[in-house]
Parts: sequence; C-alpha cells; structure tokens
Amino acid sequence: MRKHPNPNPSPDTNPNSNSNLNSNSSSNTVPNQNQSRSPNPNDRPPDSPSQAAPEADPRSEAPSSEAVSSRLEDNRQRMESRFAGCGDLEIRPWRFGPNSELPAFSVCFDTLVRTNAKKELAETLRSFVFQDADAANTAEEAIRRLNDRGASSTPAKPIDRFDLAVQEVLDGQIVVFFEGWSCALGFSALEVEQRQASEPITEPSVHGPHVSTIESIDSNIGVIRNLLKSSKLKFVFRTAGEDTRRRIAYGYMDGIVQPETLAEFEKRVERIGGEEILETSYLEEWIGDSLYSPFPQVRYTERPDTAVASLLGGKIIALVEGSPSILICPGRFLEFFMASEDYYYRPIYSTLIRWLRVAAFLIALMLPSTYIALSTFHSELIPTVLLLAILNTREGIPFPALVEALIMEFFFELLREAGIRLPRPIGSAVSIVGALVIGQAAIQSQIASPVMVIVVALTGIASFALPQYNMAIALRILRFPLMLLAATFGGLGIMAGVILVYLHLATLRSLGQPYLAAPTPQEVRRLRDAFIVLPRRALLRSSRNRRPNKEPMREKSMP
Amino acid sequence: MNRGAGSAAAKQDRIGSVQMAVLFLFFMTGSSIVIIPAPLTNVAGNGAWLSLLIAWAAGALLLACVLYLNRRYPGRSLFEYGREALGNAGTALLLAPFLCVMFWHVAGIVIEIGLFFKSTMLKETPTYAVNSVLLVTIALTVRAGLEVMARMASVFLGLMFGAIVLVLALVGPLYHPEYLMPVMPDGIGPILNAAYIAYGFPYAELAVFAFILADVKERDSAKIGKRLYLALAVNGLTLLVSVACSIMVLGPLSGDLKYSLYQLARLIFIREIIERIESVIGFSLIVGFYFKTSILLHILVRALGLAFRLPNERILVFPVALLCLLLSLTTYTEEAKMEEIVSIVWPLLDNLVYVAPLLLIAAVTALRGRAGRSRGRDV
Amino acid sequence: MRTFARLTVIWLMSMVAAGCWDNRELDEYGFVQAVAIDRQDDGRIKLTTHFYNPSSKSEGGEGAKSAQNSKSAQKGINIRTSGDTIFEAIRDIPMKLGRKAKWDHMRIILLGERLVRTQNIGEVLDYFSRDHEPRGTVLPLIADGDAGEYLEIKPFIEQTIGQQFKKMETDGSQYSAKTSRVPLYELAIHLKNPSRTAAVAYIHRSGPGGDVVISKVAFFKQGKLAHVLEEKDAEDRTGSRTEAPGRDRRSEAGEAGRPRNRHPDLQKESEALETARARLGRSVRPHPVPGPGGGSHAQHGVKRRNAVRYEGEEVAMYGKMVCLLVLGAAMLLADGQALREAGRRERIVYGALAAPLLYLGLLFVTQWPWPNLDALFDLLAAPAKRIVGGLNPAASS
Repeated sequence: MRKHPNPNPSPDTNPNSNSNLNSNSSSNTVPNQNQSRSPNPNDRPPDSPSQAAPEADPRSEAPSSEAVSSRLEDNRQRMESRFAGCGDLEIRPWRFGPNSELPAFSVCFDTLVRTNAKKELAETLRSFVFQDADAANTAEEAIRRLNDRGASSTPAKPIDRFDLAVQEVLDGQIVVFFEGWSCALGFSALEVEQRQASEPITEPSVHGPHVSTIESIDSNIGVIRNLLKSSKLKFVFRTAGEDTRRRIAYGYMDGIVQPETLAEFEKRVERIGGEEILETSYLEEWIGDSLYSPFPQVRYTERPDTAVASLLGGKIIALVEGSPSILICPGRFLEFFMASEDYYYRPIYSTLIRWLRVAAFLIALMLPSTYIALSTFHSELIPTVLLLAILNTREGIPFPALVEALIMEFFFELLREAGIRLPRPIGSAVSIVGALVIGQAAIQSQIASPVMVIVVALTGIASFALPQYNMAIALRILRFPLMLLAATFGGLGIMAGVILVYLHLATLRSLGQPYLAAPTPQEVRRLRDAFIVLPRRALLRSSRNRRPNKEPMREKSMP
Repeated sequence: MNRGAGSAAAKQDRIGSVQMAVLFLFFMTGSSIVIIPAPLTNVAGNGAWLSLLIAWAAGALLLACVLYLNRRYPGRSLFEYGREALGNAGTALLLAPFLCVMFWHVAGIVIEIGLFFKSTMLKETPTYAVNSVLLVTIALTVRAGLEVMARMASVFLGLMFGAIVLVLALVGPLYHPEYLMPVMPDGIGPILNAAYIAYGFPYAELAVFAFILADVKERDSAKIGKRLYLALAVNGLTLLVSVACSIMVLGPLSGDLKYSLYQLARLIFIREIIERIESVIGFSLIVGFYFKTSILLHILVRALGLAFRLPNERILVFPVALLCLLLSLTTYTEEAKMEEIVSIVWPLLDNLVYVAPLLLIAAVTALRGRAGRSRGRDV
Repeated sequence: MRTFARLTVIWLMSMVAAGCWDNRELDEYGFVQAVAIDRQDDGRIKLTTHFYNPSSKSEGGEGAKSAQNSKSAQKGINIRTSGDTIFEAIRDIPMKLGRKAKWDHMRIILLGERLVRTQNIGEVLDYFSRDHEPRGTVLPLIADGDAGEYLEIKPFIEQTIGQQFKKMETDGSQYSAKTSRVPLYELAIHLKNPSRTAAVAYIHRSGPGGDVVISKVAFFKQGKLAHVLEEKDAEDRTGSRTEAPGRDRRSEAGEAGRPRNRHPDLQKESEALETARARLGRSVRPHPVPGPGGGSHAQHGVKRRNAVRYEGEEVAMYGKMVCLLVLGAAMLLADGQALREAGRRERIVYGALAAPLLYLGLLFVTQWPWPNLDALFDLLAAPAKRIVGGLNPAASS
C-alpha cells in the first residue's frame, strides 16, 4: 500500500483556527463504558459496506451546527446515532488523566484509516495517559503534548463543531473526544488502496513517458507540478456535491492563459454548486457550450506530459478526485488531431502523420456514404475497371447498397461495443470470430459483398486513428445520417450533409471561443501548425505557444 | 445547436474588410464560373472574352458608384441613404421592386442549380426534392449569421478556386490556342450582345452589396474600397481565363454545351486513373453556387430588415427561404424559358430594378453635395 | 404459485407438441420459379414446372469457371407432369421431384397458344387465382408454340429463367412499349369486365432458332385467344392508353391517332379516347380495356372527373404535398420559440410573408396556371428583345 499524501485543507471546510474552547471542567464523573454498544475493531458485521451512513437523523439540525459538547456521553450518543448502521465505524474508548479516570473515545472509519495510524495513536494516548501527572487540561496543552509525543505525522486539528467532526470522520480522520472538553481533536490518517501509476491505457505511446495519472487528485497534481516547476502554475480547489463532497481542482499558467477565458471558465464552474460530480466528464456538462452537439468541446488525457504541454499553451486543466482523466479546455477542432507524441519525432514524420489523421477523419466520415452514392447514383463516375470488379462481387446480393451498409455498420458497432466490455481472454476470441469468421461467412453466403466489408473495415480502422476518442465518437454518430442522405440524394446528399456538418462546426464554440479557426493572421499560423509540424525553435518564435504577453525565448545557457 | 441566439444578434454581425472582400469575390464568381462561358460563346464565338472585358469594365464603374455611396454615408446601407436622399415615399417606390426581384433572383439561382443537377447527375430526382435540399442547407447557413458565413468562406473559397485551377491545369494537353482566332468574324454586334448578357449576369448584381457594405467593422471600413477592387479584379481574371480556356479546348463547340467548366472536366483523361473527376469538380463548383445563394439570401433578409426597420431580422430567414423555394418551383420550370430569361430579359430587368435606383440615389447625393458645397462649407 | 407452475409446465409441453404440422425446413420444399401449361395432342394438360436448384456456394465459387455452363443449367430443374386437369398434374409433381412444390416465389406462368385458343383462360388460371400460395403479382405470358420449351432456355443475365422472363416483360413494356405488363390480378379483373376482353403479353422467338423476345400483345375475347397484336400496333396502343414514364406520350399518341391498319377494336378504343380527351381537355386513362364496350366506359370516365388522373401524376402531387408539409412544419417548429420572443414588427412581417407562401404553395401543388412572377417578367421580354436586336443585328436567337 502506498502512503497517501495528506490532503490540503479545502477552503470551505477549514475549521476556524480560533476555537471557542470552554474552560475545562473537571467536574465530570467517569461515565460508564458501554462496551457492548461500540463495535470492537475485531468484531465487525460481515456485510456492512463502507459507505456513508444513512442519516439516522436527517440534517434538520440548525445550519449553525451545535458545538461539541463537553459531556462525553452526549458526544458519543450523537456520534452513534449519526452513524447508526455504519458497521465499519469504530468507537474506541480511552482513558486519560492523572489516574486514567477521565474517559475519552476515538471515532474513525476502520475502512478508511491505516492501521499504523491507529497503532501510533493508541501508543501515544496510552503514554499520554500514563505520563502526564498534572493532566493537560486544556486543548492546546493536550495538543502540544500529543504532538510532542508524535501522535501522528501531522499536527492534530482542534474541532469544535459537531458536524465538522462528522465530516472529519468521513474524510478519514481519527477524531478523539475528551471528557470535559468541548473540543475534539482530529488526526489525519486517511489511507485507501490506490492503483499504481502505469502505462496509460487509452493513450499508449511508443516514444515518451509511459506514466499515467491515477485516481488520487493529489498525486496527479503532484506529478504535474513536478514536471512544471513554476510558481505561475496555479491550482484552485473546490468541493462539489452534497453527498459526494468530491474535490475538484483546476489549474492554469498565470500569464499565459487568456484572462477572459479564465473568467468564463470560473463563472461556469461556480454554477456547479451542490451537484454531484462523479467523474471529470461530469464537469463537461457545466463547462461545455453545446450539450447536443456530437462534437466534443473539451479534450481528455491521462498523460501528464500532454497536460503540461496544454498548460504551457494557455489551456485550463481540471481534475476530479477519483478519476484519472484530466480535462483540457477550451478545445478547438484542430487540436483533436494533435497528440503530444508529434513533438517527440522528427518534424517531417509528424507532419505526414497529421495529414494521415485528417485523411482518417474524412474517410471515417464519408467513405460508406461515398460508396453508396457512387454505386447507386453515379456509377458513371467509377473507373471502368474498378466498376467491373465491383459488379462481379455485387451480383446476387439481395440487399440494396444502403441496407447492406447499414447492416454491416451495425454489426461492426455491435462488435466494437462487445469488445470493450469483454474480459481479456475472451476479447481476442471475439475479434477473431467476429472479423474473420463472420465477415468471411457473410461474403460466402452472399449476404454482404466483399467491397462493403472492406469499406466498413476501413471506416472502423480510420476512426481509431484519431488521437482523441471522443472525436471518433462524433464520427460514428454522423456517419449514419450521411449514409441516409447519400442513399436519397446521391452526391448532392453527401454535399449537403458535409456542408451542414461544416456549418455546425463553424457555429460551435468552446468556452466562448470559436471552435474552428477564423481567418485572422494569428489563426492562420495556428492553422498552419495544425497541418505542419515545425521544429520547436521555429514554433517558439511564433505566437502559437505563447500568449502576446510573453516574449519569445532568447538563447539561454543551461545552468 | 449553437446558433446565434435571437437576442444576442440584436446588434448586427460585423466582419472584417478582408472577409467582406472574400464574400464579394464569392458572390461574383460563384455561379458565373459555371454558367458564364457558354451563353457568351454561344453568341459571340471567339470574341467572348472581349465582351467579358467590356462587361467587367461596366461592373467596375458600378462598383465605384456603390463605394462612393458607401463613403458618403458611412455606416449606413442602401435603404437608409435612400431615405435620406429621396425621402420615405420615394425610397419605398424605388426599392420595393428591388426587393421583389431579389426574391426571384434567389429562386433563379436555385433553378439553375437544379437544372445543373438534373442535366448531369441526378436525372430522375424530382425538382422539388433537389431544390428543397439546397434551400434547407442555404437557409440554415444564413440563419447562423454573417460572421459564421465569413468564417466558412475561406475554406470554400480555397475549394472552389482549387477546383478551377485544377481543371484548367489538367486540361492542358487539350489546348488549341488557334481556336481563339478569328476574334470578330461578324463584327462588333455579337460582342456587344454578349457583353449585354455578361453585364446582366453577374456584374450588375453587385448593386445588392450596397445593403451590407455597412456591416464592415469600423476600423476596417477605409480599406474596403481597395479590397473590393482587388476582388473584382480576381473575379474578372478568373472568368476571362476560363472563357479563354474553354474556347481553346472546345472551339466552336463551346457555345453548344452548357456548363463549360464541367464539360472541360469531363474531358480530363490522364492515364486511366485521373479520369471521371468531373464529379469532384462539379461539387466544388456547386459549393460556389450554394455560397453565392447564401450571401444573396442574407442580403435579402437584411434588406427586409432595413426596409421595415426590424431590430432582429434573422427570424425571417426561414419563411423567405421557403418563399424562394416555392418561386423556384413554380416559375420558369422549363429549361428553354429559363435560358431565354437569363440571356435576354434578365440584364434589362436587373439594370432597371437594381442599378437604376442606385444610380438615381447616387446622382441625387452628388447633386446635393455639390449644392451643399456651393452654399459654403457648413459642417 | 404451484398451480401457476403447473400451468406453465403444461403450456410449455403443449408448445412442443403444437406447431409440428406446418413446421418444415427449407430443403423440404422445391421452390417453383416458373410454370408452363400446354395442351398435349391427346387433349390432356401438360405441366412443366421449373424449380430452383440451390447449389452449395463453396463448390460453385471455386469451380465456377469450368462449370459455368453446367452450373446455370443445374440452377433450374424442369419437371414435366400431365393430367386431365391442372390440379391433377400438380399433384403428381412430388412423384417426380421428391419435394413438395411451393408456389410463393413463382415469377411467370407460360400458357401455350394452343391451350388458350381452345380453353377459357380463366378456367386454366383458376387454380392459381384461388390457391393461397401463388401471388397475384405473378405475370402470365402467352407463348408461341409449346410453352414448355421456353423453360429449357438458360437465363443469360438473371439467376433463373423465371426471373429473366419477368424482367424482360417488365422492363420491355416500360421502355420499349411494344408489349404490356399484366399481372395475374389485373388479368382477372379484366376478365370480369362486361366486355369480357383482356390483353396479355406475348412471348415468341424472333425467327426459327432466333432469340426469345417478349413483345406483341395477345387479345382475348370471352376468355379465349382471339388475336395477337403486332409490335407496331402494340406500341400505338400503349401510346394512346397511358402516360408511361420516360416518354412523352401525348405527342406520340397524337401521331398515332391516324394509324395505318389497326385492329377494329383498337380503332374504336382510340376514337372513344379522343372524344373523351376533347371533352376534358386532357388525356384519359380509361379503367377498362379496349373492346366494343370501351367507348361507353371512356364516357363513363368523363363523369368521374376526379378519378381520371394519371397514376404518375397522383404520386407526384402526393410527394409535393408531403414535401411542402414537412418543410412548413419544420419551419414553424424552428421559429416557434423565436417568434414568441420577437417583437411586434417582426411578427407582422413574418405573417405578411405567409400570404404569398400559401398562394405559391397552392400553385406548386396543383400546378394551376395562375399569375406568377414570371408573368411580370415576360412583360419585359419584348423591350429586351428589341435591345438585343439593336445591339446585335445578326442575332440568331
């Protein structure tokens, strides 16, 4: 298990540092230890899932929450009623005071807390109990002593509001209540199983780093900060969602990002409020401009190097706790054809690969409809030799070209969907069965013609050639209306369809900025960069990577 | 879909002068590049390029007039300076036919596209289907706004001119420069006749640009004149070259075949592979048609908005487009009548209805200006 | 719960038991592609049934080149049976084939000329009309000579000879108009008309040992073959009857209005048509077929004005209306929201545009020659022509 780095305190859950502490009262008697009520750590109901407790008492408490009571029994009862039914909650009694007569209890979720922390805490509390003769009777004193003993690696936090204490327990802290103090102490001890950072699953590369982001927002930000060591890299943290209370962060490079884009982004993020955010793509609903367009307006990546490159390009990235995807916005159409890998290879190669991607885009969009239009409307436009070859294969096929195309495309989509979810051993069997056997059998039984199988296969492969998966999704959707248009109106239908797609792209905006490049001089350079990859030095002198308020690099010597 | 919201477009879209010049170039070249060489060569034979020159010169003069008006009334468009020059009633009288004929103008171009498709690629499809598809696309484009159209224009321009250059280049082996001679076998008459046709279509039509020249961003408006002349020059050159090339390839046949550039494309044959590319060329040319119609529809809707002083005329796009569609399906459904109107009636019609009011307003403005100056320089 | 379980079990078992009667695999049937009916010398009916012979694709695909000819001959099997009636002949088929015949996919019925000269065609085709399997869209053909021989011919471009003949009749009647396309149900309707006349397409050889061709039209009177119309006359007849797509019928019919030597029945029909045309101002497609009674029916058609339209025209009008409605609905849907938010002026102008829209829509759908913009433009035609004439005295247009 890896150690989980300590979370930064979120802005709106920061407890007041000035705690209203009542003066300790030593007039409490020792309450009974109801061992039977608090579950022992070793004795858990087997089927209790570690989830948030169903609220025994709904949040009908006053928003100005009650303070931690100085009576231990009150606190304990409230804790137990609040977390009634949470089988993984552990309430352990302690004793402190010169003669160990003053009780205390600690609350934590057994499933969230690492055992070392509990052990440390146990040791310290025990020694604390034994060694301090004139018992530290104030919170500060207790804290100081606990820290001196090294109860935990981070200093304890005083908590004086009850709901704050509940939140801290849910956040994976050990909260200790002391008899006679209206203040509890929280020690951070969160440790949950994390995945090892490995090769990015969806964006593997041949050259370049093979590190991907994982589900912990702190480690992700850590990796990025490690690659971009600048004080201008700003990260802003928010918490969203009432029940999930997920941490969101967004980052940008101050001085490179455009201020109006940032302002627009922040305005949209503010609207999220109490909505539950389960994954980074939920953010897209709030940040994106057009929900119903098939084209994505933001990019995703799991690679830190892509994130760093985009930050340097003036983009804003957003991360969510629990998801490895990094959202990069604003996204422009031409950026969906760029991968960070392009800059790791020689410029000529990268340029040609970019062109290949554009060709792949066009093929994935238009190949089936072009085939339908040519074979059913404009057979005079096919070169004669090719036409004869196609004729031989099409003789005897019962379906019209459109129906055949739809069937084969549908079958291919089924195959794709099935392939995603299959476990790996079966996955390869499906691909062999699907592609070879069924495709071959379809041709032999004359349900589909070989040309159609080639068309469908090429289309599928072409859509995989695009670096961003959500752009390929858009193509999969748009292919079908284009096929229908082609079958109805032939070449005119394709033309009208392509014009409409282009029109839609031209009206689309991403974070307020136009999706397609406009023909202004700056944009022309951007356009050029989309299709031609220049060496870095030439790029750096252009205005692509740097905002107007940054000068091009001069030759500097390395330290 | 993220169309320009009605409320947000209360202010007009403004575009840069370069974009306006691009739109102008499209407008002039879009449909004429496909249609023009044929009727001219039909009438004037080898001297068609001369008539084009004459018509182009007339068009340049007309452009000068339009730019003059634009300078005299900065930031305002035809209706507005018509009202200033001639008063409300006079303007209404003069410009009402302008609007009505513009409706038919849009329909006329759509009829042309429909005829092109019916005669070349889609013979069985009923006219209403082809025209509907086209007008739906056009209406959606116009509805998206002038700014979006300007953004799309650059790609389409590249496509169209690329196709033209490609055709004219690939047809290279088939050129016979001797077909260009003799130039005027029958005297000046046919040349003038062809010039009359060419002047009617497309050059006199540039008068409609008086409606939207004011939509250029203010800081750019000084340079608009130069850019428009440049666009006109490019247009003239392109048409000239295409006429000359079609004569060089087809010789005396060039008047008989409609859609000369398309016919040229059909003749391209380089080693079995590069043949039958007329479809690709055809579509690029159709893109020119489509975009010209979009610009014209936009001007029409804008003119309607100016005529009735509507704050937001974008809502009218669909009914106007539907009206133009129905006009295209009910008038001049026979090809022969359509040809007749294009070559004979249309130049007279659009000069009467487009150019004459413009000239009148310009004349009134000039006279008033002189009168104002002679009375001494007040403000 | 237990009763429910029991009922379910009983139901499931009965499912297994039921449905065994009609359940048959595909390869238990022989699929008839064409049938030829003749009269033998001894007066009995000779039936030649052409079955499709499915060859397995794999051997067909690889050994295709060498077995080309035999493959297509193997594609069809002719079974000859005879009997006193057609029904008896049909019942004998499984005796010779080994499979039950399935008539659903039959394409054509060939009837020998000798048979239909002597017997009422309605009786001959009675079995095919009444049985549930043969479809009404099958095409009957009258064959010159022995019908069964025509089924021996190998199909040249289609898969089976039945399909071949069907396409020949369909496309031949559409594009060359020298024959007619008459499906079985239409023939049945015609046979029931008061004049008891019918027309069927004719198949023959263009010379001894020549190509098979489907042209000419066979006329039936009282159900028996009366006369075979030659190709030229068949063309004229088609011209005066219908507006076939792809040809301008009106001009052709006008020319054919005065034919050389036409069949008297046909002459009467065309005269009746001309009268009707003159009365209506447009061409007529009479519902009944030529015959002495044809004239009255054409007059009958005059009264029912609404019914007298071209089929093609009806479809086109329907298409236009659908197109217009779809576009109008889309427009209103798209603009509905914006209209509600728009100001008064915009709404007025929008409404003002609706009036010419409706007018033009009406013109479009009905194609009435009401005034339109082109009438206005035509006013300028004369001065424009004068200008052109002035510019170019040698103007050719």
